[in-house]
Amino acid sequence: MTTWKPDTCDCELEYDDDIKLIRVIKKCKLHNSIVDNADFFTAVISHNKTFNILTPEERQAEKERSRKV
Amino acid sequence: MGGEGSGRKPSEETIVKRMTPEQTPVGDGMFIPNYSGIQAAALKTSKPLGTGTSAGGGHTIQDEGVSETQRTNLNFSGSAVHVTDSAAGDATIVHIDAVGGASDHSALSNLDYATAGHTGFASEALNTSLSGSYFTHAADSTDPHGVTLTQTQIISSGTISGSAIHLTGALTAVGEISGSAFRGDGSFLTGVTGSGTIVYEGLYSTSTNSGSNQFVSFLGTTGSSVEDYIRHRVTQAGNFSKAWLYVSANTITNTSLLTLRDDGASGSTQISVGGGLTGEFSDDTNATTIAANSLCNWKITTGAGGGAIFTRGTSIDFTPS
Repeated sequence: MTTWKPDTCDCELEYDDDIKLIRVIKKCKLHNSIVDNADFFTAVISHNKTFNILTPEERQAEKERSRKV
Repeated sequence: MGGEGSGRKPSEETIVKRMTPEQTPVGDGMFIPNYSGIQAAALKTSKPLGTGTSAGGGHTIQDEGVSETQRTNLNFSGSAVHVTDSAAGDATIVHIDAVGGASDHSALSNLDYATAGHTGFASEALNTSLSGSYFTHAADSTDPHGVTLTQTQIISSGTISGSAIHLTGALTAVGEISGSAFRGDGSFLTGVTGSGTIVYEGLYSTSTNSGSNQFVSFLGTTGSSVEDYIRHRVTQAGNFSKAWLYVSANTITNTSLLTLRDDGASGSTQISVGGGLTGEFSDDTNATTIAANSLCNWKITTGAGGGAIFTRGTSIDFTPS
């Protein structure tokens, strides 16, 4: 079991070795509105991967946007 | 012959005598005029007359502030007292010598900060081996210990810092051992026993391509495909727990693993990094128990597909058993 804190938002969660969500520890402001945990996990992963392919300028803009949500 | 009627002239002495009236005593008493009557100092009730400019009357003899009965004589007694008369100096000399008193340091007793006499230093060397007092030593900012300070007892300190701290004995830590200076050379952890966290916070990063294994030291030396090159010896038996990893970039498609290695075998402590995920990953549940003198390190096993994973720091707690 691995605890993951993405570097793209303030969420915190636990998943198993098959990358299946076990427990949500914390939801950030950006993802707090997603009630279903499976959807929440998918959204956080998608956001993390998308964020990581952005340019540095785009990352900064995305961070600003996440904080304002 | 020559008498009255003899016709001879009386002598000059007879003439003078005859001219001098005969003195008749006034009486039994004699009155002597005084310039101011009887001097007060001459009265019986007054002290004897003094001489010179002194106050007169001598000292009042006291014992610890209590006056002694006044006597005619002042007598000094005791073997240490010697009284002599000096006619030349017109003085009575009283000499008190040190016979019977302590004149040697070792013979002194009842000094402060001592409960049973004062023994002093056993030798001269003990008295001169330190340069001044403790405070002088403590205030010395020029490193009075010289190039090397050898410490054989336990040092308990909040922070120990320095660019050349070389430990040849055991390092026991109850807090956190951290710092980029802890770069392992394959033998750093020899003799290290700790109950804190071994942290690497430097700028080290390793890129591991997909579908491969890479071995990384606890302290962030460059990864190697040969495990023996980067292992560290942990001399004390104990448990590794709470592994932590930071991934700064990850373009690998499938899951990658960070595993604690104990003498070439994978331990229970393991972190799974999902394909493409970045951030902080930790294993807060699994612990790996090791025996004394185990050779330990990390192993990164990357998933298939994609590019590479970049790890930029690890930490793990160690608790001696």
